[in-house]
Amino acid sequence: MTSRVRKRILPVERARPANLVELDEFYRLFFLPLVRRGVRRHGLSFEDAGDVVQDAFILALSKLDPERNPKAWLYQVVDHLALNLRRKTRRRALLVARWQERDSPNHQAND
Amino acid sequence: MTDSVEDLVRLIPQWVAATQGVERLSGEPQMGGDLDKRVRDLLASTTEGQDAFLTDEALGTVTAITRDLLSLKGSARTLDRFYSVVRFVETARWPPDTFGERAEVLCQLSLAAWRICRRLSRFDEAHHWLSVHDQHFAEPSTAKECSRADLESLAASESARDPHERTVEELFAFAALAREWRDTEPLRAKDLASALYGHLSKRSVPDSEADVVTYLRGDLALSIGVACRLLGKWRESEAWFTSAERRFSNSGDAELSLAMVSYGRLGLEYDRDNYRAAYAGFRRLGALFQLHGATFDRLKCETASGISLKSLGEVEQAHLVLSQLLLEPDLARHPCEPFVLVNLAETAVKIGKLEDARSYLQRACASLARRPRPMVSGFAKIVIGDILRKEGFLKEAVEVFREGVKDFAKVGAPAWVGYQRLILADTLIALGRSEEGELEILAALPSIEELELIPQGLAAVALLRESVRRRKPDPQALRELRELLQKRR
Repeated sequence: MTSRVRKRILPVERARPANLVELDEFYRLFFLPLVRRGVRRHGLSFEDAGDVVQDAFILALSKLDPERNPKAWLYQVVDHLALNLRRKTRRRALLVARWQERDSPNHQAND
Repeated sequence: MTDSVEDLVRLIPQWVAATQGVERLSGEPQMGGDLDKRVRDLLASTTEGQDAFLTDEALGTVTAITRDLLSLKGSARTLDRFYSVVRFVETARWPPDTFGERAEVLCQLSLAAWRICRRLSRFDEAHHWLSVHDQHFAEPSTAKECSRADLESLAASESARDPHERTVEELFAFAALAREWRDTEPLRAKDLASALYGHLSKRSVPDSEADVVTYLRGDLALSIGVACRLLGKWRESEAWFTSAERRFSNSGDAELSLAMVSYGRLGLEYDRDNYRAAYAGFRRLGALFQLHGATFDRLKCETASGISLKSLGEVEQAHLVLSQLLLEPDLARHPCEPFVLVNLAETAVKIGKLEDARSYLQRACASLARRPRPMVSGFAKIVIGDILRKEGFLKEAVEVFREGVKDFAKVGAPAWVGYQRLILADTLIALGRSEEGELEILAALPSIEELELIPQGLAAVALLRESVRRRKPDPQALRELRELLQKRR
């Protein structure tokens, strides 16, 4: 049987406690530079960029192929997620503006 | 732990498991506010402990300032800020740079400054920023790898991906790749730049992007023209140069842009053995670039004028001109540095200074190890093989010439491949390995025939083929063809 279910590519070692020194270095060497890219290239806030990068790492658990260029893959995923966030933010702002206009006293008076 | 890919892949699961629901960021740097003050504070922050690496906080501040600078429309005052921030990033000690972030930041800033300068009609400065961009673009970075992969997939797709999706920054990176490859990997540059040129031609352009897209079309046409020249496709090269001139003629920086096309056309003069005209032209262009403060382009012209003198047989004068280039402070950062050194080695061999030649070649090899350029590597191997032949090490020369053939074949340069194979054939025959020599000649001839050779060249090819067919390679025909191809280099 050909399995179409995508197996988890990166094993999650839940039982193994995190090495804090390694995680701290991971944060500085990998996490923060990706956050900074999100801020610089896509104009995100640091907080939003942090969320985007975290989402990219979560996606990486099941989709990152270590044999192909993982750094380039992360860059592209961060870019796509950042663009999606910006589109979503713009759409939300438009909707809010429209509803605010609709709820404004002037608009209600005209109804 | 290192910044290796293995560590990255290994630690992602642990990171995700350890940070679920945890606040990850602290100490977010200031965004917005008085930009001049933030730039001043940033510059002042590193006066203490200048040998230390930039901290995460400083990197965050650089990022926030860069983001704000990139969002500005641009004025003369904005440009001053760009100069300050770029100088800071270039001179500060960057910590271990996993993704090539420093190069990326400098490319983003220099591209933005280039655009502002063009809007302000400060074209000499725009040209300077283009050089700054290309210098840093040459450094390895993940952003550049992504651009390369994107450009290759764009070129490979049969139904053109919608070019409207590409930002100006992405298009500019593609054009920068073409500029980088046109001298080093001309076949790749021609294919990819041609595909991109086609896509740009279909793109409808908003007013805000019109200047950049027009420039990029001219720049791509120039890159394709240069690549065609190195591939021996002279007529195609001329057509692309004409296309580039048409695009550049209507832009504000026409003089400098057209000068770059003139440089390409002078290369064709050189290829057609018009060395005197090429030499005079390169000298004139070098003076023009000097007037505009375009140091990198001036160095290219001076290198080319030295090589023209060499081809005119004025070897001592050529050696002097090329030697003087070694005194240029910008040469070490210039992509033509190894090319200058290899040509110096060749002139040193011709005037009997073998020790100097070896020293120049060692420096060239060190430069090529930092910044690989297969065509220059191939040329270096011709000179190394020549030295070995002169010293009687024919077997070693054969191995070096074979390596050179591979270098040229990698970039798809038929004139060089053919020339190298003929030298190899000549050396094999001198070693008494005639059969192998004949095979090399037969392998060389098809690629030589692709070139736009003059009638004597075609006759030499026919003669050599006939002599090999009779199992008796004609040394005169071999020598004539080699000399012809040497002039084509």
